[in-house]
Amino acid sequence: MSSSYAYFLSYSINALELIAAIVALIHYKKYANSSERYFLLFLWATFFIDSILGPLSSFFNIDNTWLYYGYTGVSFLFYYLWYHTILAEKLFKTITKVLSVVFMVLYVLNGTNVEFQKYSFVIGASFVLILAGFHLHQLFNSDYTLKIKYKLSFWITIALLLFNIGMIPFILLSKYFNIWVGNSIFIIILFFLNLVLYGSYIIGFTWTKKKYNHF
Amino acid sequence: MDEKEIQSFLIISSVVLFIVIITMISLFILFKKRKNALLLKNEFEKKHFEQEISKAQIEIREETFRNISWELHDNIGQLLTLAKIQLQNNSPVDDVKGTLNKCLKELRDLSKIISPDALKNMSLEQAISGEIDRFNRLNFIESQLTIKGQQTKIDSKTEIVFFRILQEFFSNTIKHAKATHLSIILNYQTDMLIITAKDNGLGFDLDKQKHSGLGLTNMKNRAKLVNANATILSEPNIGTKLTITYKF
Repeated sequence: MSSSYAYFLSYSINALELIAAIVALIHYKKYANSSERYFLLFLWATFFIDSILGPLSSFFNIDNTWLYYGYTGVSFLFYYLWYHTILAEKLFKTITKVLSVVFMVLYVLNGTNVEFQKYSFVIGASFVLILAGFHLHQLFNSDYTLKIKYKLSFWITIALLLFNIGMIPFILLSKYFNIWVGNSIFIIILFFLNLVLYGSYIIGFTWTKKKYNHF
Repeated sequence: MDEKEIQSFLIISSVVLFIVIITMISLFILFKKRKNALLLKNEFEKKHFEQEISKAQIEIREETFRNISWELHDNIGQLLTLAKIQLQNNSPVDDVKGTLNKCLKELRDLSKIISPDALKNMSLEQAISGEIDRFNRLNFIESQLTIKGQQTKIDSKTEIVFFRILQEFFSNTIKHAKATHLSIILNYQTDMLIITAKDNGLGFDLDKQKHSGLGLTNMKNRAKLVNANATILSEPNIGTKLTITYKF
């Protein structure tokens, strides 16, 4: 595969981030009163860091490992905080708190060694999967099930679930085969997972209706 | 790109793809199942609600028949008997006429109250005040209805349920409480309606008595059916109080 093709795919991921952020902005009114409103800021921050700061620092030959590692940590903590707000059951809330603390500890420990930084992602993603499961459980036991496609938190959860469930084996296996994740052909897999992630976000923001987003 | 890279790429991508697709499919199946279960449950609840409303309506009708029979026997029957006695005793014609006129008036009132159209279009206030008039007229119990605040229209099915709960309370008061006074307050607030019915009868001990015969649970369940809350307070020799709160 030519490297220009890989470049194109990698820019497409940035484009997806931008489109998702724009769609979130356009439909902001529909979810302005819910806790999902922080996702607008989060998506723009993602685009800014991944598509502007990252490439800029590469351009000036600055080591940006810490930028991405920092983003990984903040984004997982952001997801945990969001789930903590929307999960209703006390047990789920407590588990969210415990998982957040465990993640923070492991994140700092792994952070000291660049080799282990990938495991922080795997751990963070596994915890997101657990919380996403809790939220789906909560949704499926409520009347929202009947009109689930209008519920923004459902689409965000689907996005996180599918992305992270794909990312975990991707990272672990590439580690196992001793292949660098940034390798040009693996961009295809990354692009596919990002397409699922931002595609779900875009569908969610477009389909959601105001009256289903009030917590 | 070497052979090894291609091989690992194929393995990794198929594993990732497989997991993502399996997740999607299982989520879809799970969601479908939950949705169907919920739809069935809603359908069942709707049916149950309709059944309960019909039951309440039938009970109101039965109570009405009982009241008619009562009124025919105790009120109109008595007046006719009086007229007959007056005739037998050769009382003045004007006295007999007076009795018969009174009898006719009662008969007309009764026929007006029980005509199906009147019953159908009656509001909760009208229905309650009808009952209260009857209690006062037949000297069952001294009763009064007070309405506070700006009246708000509520759903007719909800009205049926409230009226039936109150009717049950009245019938308990008359049958068991030996009360002399009954007061009903409809308090319309901006966001809720509070109905209070209170008698000064014998009352009962809420903890001790097995009051299943009084239909207290039934009252509470019925209130719950229309998202209202019914509470019953009672103290021996002081009286019984029923409160229904309903948020608009």
